[in-house]
Amino acid sequence: MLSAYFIHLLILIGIYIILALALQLALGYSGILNLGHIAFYGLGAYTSALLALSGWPFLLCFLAGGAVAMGSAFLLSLITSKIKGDYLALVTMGFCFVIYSLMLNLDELTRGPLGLPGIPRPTIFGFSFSDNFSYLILVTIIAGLVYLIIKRITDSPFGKLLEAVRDNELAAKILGKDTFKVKTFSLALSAFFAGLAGSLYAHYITFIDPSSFSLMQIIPIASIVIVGGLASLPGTVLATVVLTLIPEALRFVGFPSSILGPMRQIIYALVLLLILIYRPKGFFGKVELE
Amino acid sequence: MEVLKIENLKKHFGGVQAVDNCSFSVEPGKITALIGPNGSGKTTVFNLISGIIRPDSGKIFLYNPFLFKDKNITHLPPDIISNFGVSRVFQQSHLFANLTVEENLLLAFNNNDQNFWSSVFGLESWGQKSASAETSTRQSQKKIVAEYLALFRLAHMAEKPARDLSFGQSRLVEILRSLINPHHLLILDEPIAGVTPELRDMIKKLLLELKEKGETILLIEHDMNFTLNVSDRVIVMDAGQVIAEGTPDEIRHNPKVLEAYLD
Repeated sequence: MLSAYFIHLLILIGIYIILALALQLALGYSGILNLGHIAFYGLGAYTSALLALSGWPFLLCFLAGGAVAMGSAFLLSLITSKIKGDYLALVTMGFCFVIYSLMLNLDELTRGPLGLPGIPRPTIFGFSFSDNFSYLILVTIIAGLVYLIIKRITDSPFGKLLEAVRDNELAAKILGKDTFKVKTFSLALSAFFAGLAGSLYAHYITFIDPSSFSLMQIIPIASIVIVGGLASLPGTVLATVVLTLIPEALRFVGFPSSILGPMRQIIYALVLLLILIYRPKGFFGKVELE
Repeated sequence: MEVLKIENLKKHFGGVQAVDNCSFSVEPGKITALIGPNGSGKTTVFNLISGIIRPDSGKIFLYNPFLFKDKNITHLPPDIISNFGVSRVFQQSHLFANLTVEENLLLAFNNNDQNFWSSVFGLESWGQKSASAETSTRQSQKKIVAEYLALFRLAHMAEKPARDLSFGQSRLVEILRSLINPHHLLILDEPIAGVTPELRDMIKKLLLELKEKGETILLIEHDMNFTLNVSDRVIVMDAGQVIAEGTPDEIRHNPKVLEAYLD
């Protein structure tokens, strides 16, 4: 039997895989430099948690989490329709701050910094996923489905169109493509999956507060996407496993917990630097960005 | 009837009047060349036609062969103008570098790939072809691409990413892509700049064949020998204005043209 600790790690890896695959769709395939990805994750988590606490069944909370994140992505896309590259990165970063501030300050809804405790574990058609092993199975199935759906999207002509827009937006326009529509769709899908990941996180930990969704949380996810290789789905999965397990190994070295946190950041930075120097396209990446 | 009609077009960048009261038209089934010294505003005119930049004043009309009338395309965005039938090749390479040569060409056929549900899940929606029809269309598109690539001795590159192409090869692929893109006006910005003499002949032959098939082509080219040989009409620009228009023979002996080039 798997140890409780290992099961916990695998669940987190599963959730992170969904989150990273979602970012891969927007960043790796569509070239949308979205640093506000965590906001979608947070919106999914809060939406799902709040609905569950008011008695909604899990499946509806789960889908609503994705839908609210998706809706906010449509709005973000409308606002940012005229900008791209570094400027887009800045605005999406701002978006993340805004959502974080809302979580922190909408006291009556989110209980602010106190967070939302007592989020119920999911029950689907009478089956309760209250123990961690069954939750691992649930996360694995959903992560598998998300992988297959994103693979299907990226292999389709629509996926090729996303990559075309990433490589050369002007050329795509000259071929008659409505690149705004395409990018909006991609960002919305990416947000939807990030929202699902948020919901899974909330119902697993059963407590969420704004600190889990601060801007800094984008660092491990963006690292995964870059280390795994832009526009590579297997690379994303491998990088999620590696980048989640490496910092965990530190626990066994015996560092005090005050050092563990910063060490984690140092490791991400180090892995990122090594990859950029020795393997700039990541594990399995084929894409070179200009 | 003209395929393209440009009236009193003006565009300035800061203090520079790049295009200054420029008017000309392009007749169907002919190769029209736009020539002029560097900085005379040729590429700016192309950018105005394809909607990448917008004019300060003036109008651009494109003939719509389905409605038998002119369409004012002056302030439309590039994708709409492309869908009205203008297909363009840029001066610099604008291929999708990380996609294969085949994928680059497949993207040009139509805009069905923009429809998420039918493209990804094969779902039918109103006015859409069924999923199986879509697949067979895809197969026939791949066949057309393969034929084109074989014709230009590029078949071995079909599966390679476009960034692996040599300069001349990427010029060819770009011209092919603009041919596949549905259009009734082809505008080519320096199609033979920097290519080998062999490839130049190949492109010349292709352009003449396209004309035989009834294509309307507007091109910018610096190579006088090539331009005067291949084109039916020549428009000469200098300092943002049209200074002369006529057959290649007339242009060869036009004192204004000689002056502009000798300045």
